[in-house]
Amino acid sequence: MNRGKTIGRLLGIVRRDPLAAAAFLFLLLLAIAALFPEQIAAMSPNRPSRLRLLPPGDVYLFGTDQFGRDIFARCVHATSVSLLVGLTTVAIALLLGVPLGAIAAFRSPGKIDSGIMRTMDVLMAFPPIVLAIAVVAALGTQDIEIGPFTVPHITKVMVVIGLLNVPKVARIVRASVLVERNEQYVMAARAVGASEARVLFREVLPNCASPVAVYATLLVATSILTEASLSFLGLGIQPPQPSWGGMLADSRTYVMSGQWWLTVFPGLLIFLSVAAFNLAGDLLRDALDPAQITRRGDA
Amino acid sequence: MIGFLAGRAASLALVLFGASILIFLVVRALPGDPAVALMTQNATPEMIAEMRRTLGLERGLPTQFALWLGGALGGDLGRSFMFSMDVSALIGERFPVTLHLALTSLAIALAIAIPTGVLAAANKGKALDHLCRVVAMVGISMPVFWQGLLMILLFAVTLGWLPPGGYVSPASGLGDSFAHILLPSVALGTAYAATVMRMLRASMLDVLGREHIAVARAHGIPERTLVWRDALHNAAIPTLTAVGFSFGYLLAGAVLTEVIFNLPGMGRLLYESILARDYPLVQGLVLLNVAVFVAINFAMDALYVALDPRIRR
Repeated sequence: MNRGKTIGRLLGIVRRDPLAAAAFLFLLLLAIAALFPEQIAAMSPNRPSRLRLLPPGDVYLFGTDQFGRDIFARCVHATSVSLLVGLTTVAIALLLGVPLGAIAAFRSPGKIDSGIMRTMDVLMAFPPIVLAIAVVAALGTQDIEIGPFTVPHITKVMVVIGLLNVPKVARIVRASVLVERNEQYVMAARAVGASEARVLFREVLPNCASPVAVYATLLVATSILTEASLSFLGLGIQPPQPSWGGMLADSRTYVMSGQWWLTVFPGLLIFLSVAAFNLAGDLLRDALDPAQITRRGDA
Repeated sequence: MIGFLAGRAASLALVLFGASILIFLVVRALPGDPAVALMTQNATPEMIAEMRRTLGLERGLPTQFALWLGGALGGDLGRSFMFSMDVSALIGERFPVTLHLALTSLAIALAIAIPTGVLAAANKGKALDHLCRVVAMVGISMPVFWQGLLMILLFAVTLGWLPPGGYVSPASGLGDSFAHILLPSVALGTAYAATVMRMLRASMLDVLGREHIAVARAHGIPERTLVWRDALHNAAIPTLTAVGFSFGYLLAGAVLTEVIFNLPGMGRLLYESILARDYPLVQGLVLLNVAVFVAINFAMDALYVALDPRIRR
């Protein structure tokens, strides 16, 4: 993969397509909000006040919640948690899924391949949100003490969502490696005496990077959505730490009394973040595989 | 064909067995002792021990698993602690609600996805195609719980057109039942519609680019007939199987929808049973979810074989 050419193509697409430009701009804003929340939101996200359930205005851009807390500040501070969960879970999925899929493909057909892929099939038979709810509930919403270490609840959530994504990554990698392993350059590497491990990790895997990169970008969107769903059900990020899903869960009480701002803003941020990562995944696919550009928008 | 299906059945049975072990182990890891949860605060250690014996919790894990799996195969999923009734009976009571929701959502999804998918493919690269692409992206990225809350705000609170939640069985009045199931079905169905629409569009584009369509076009067959009859017929096969595979996820997606709209279905029951540490109920519901998923997979394999003669050979 020629990285310079890919970035050039990506910039070309962003220049031509206003939707792509908007998606990347939004992702940039998200990153800034996640890195510098105090500079963007002047108020504390957790400090209550007597100004309860104020509608959006000049001072409180997104209004205040049932405890008089600034919803804008809470939304901004929740950005880092959502991005952290989205990116870490994908890193976990890649860390385990890439070697598993690659080894399965390299040993296919065989017992190792069957063993790995049947295990992945078992995990994929569970609807993801059902398995996530069951496992997070099994582990509890409290921090866990393991010897001298304390594992925060958010780490458990990230590990669970990450593990749920491992089978999907393993399948994509296996399919790509199965195609690549019969290419001439692989045979050439074998012919000059390269070890199996070297052929797999130095020759084959770098050539499978494109589909994995595209899928990983789309997985960030899915992971953000899963974390928000768990937080909405009270199993994700625990209060008082702000999270978009948790804020939506709190807003349920006030839906019937018409305090729309409690529902609209956190949900809008989840929606825009997921949409931006989905669009970025599509665009990355176009940039990495120019043959696809003629079929823009194909599912 | 029989050999292929037998192979798939054996493979899926293995998946179901592996999943049942995983379900059993995960549920056993749920925090807290269910025997304690069932007793009053004044319960003596002897009473708790007696309750543990009654529930079979003092036996070894392999014995507990064998007993549970043997019972499950015979339709006995144990007794719910929370509801004091058989899990199978409880599931039988709640399943129709979730099925009603899933089928209505499926109908809404197909009603949106088929015309938009076909029109987008037939107008590839034009404004209509771009519009459909944007709408599909919105549908896929919209969290179902946010969409549900927004719809309650608009249609129930602001406009007062539809009830904000609850369930009325079709047997108690079709109109009232439809009014109650409409909002949750639209919330669940639109995300599904976006997925199906993208699949159908891709399949249609593939079919429309084939030679037999070009030949038919050269023979002067009207474009409308080509698209809606010939191409759609061919594109429907892969889309139909994909629709089936996703139906299992639709049933599972009902968890959030049922919680928001207060529907007494299996999804809300699963959520409540996890919070109440009701082991037998959690196990039964998750196992049923996986079993439905596996059964749909098998049905889709069989359908694919029946529809595609190349696999039959």
